[in-house]
Amino acid sequence: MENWQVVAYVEVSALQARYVQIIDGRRSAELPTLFTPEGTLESKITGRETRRENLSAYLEAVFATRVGDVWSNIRHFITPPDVTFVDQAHVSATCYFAAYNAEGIDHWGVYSDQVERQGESWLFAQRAVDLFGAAPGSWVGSGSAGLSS
Amino acid sequence: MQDWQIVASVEIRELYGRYFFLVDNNDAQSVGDLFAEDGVLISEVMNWECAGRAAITDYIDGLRSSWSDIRIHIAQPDIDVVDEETATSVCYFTVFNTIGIDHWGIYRDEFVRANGKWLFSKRSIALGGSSANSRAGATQDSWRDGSKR
Repeated sequence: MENWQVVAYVEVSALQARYVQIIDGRRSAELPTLFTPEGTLESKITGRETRRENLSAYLEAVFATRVGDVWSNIRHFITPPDVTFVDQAHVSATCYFAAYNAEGIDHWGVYSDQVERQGESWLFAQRAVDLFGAAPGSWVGSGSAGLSS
Repeated sequence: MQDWQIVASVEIRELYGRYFFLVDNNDAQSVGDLFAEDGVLISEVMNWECAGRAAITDYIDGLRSSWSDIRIHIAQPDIDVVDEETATSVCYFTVFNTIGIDHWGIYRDEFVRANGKWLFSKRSIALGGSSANSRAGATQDSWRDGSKR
């Protein structure tokens, strides 16, 4: 790896880690700061594709579906990413996630990211959340995560 | 850590990320290319040992019929960069199928740097446990006593 690739790998890993800390910490106002101005978040869990300017409201709507002691605090564990370096301003990265609620595993899947360097920061140009499985009766497995309209 | 150790650590993490996505996507040839020509793979999960890149490629290719629809998640690896050409690492893993956790365990890895790339020279896969109806079926002795095969 060239030095810029090493630095990019570390910084993209940090971006992915920051994302889960923000959503697990219910810090909805901070979520747009991780995306480019044209960035989008596509989730197979909620069935939504959301542009940057709507991300905070989207996340608040997601939080509203997590009611009760079991689902109110979900924690996402992520794996080290597989990164493909396109050039010094563009990479694609993929990592798995496993989300746990207060009783155990809730759902699991994969994040597929297109990441761009803008200024001094790497930002999501597109993040796709794909679901691989969900435990019966969980937030996702019960169907409670799907947002209507 | 010195700069070359930091670079090596990042490159090995990137190797981990690449390995799991290739395995999960059934790209046996590319998985084999991540091993040294005389690399060794020892899997307690499948009760199998194979030596040499070609044998490892054949082994991975043979898993495709029985190991569809799994995703291997790993924790952060504990990497020891011995020198500029050799390293060792240990990391935990959890294998998910479409209905939940299938099995879990630990990788003990040895690496060699060849032609500018880090490669697996030896990978040992020890089983920690498995769910009912799991596809994993080996003993759990090495998990309990921490022994290496």
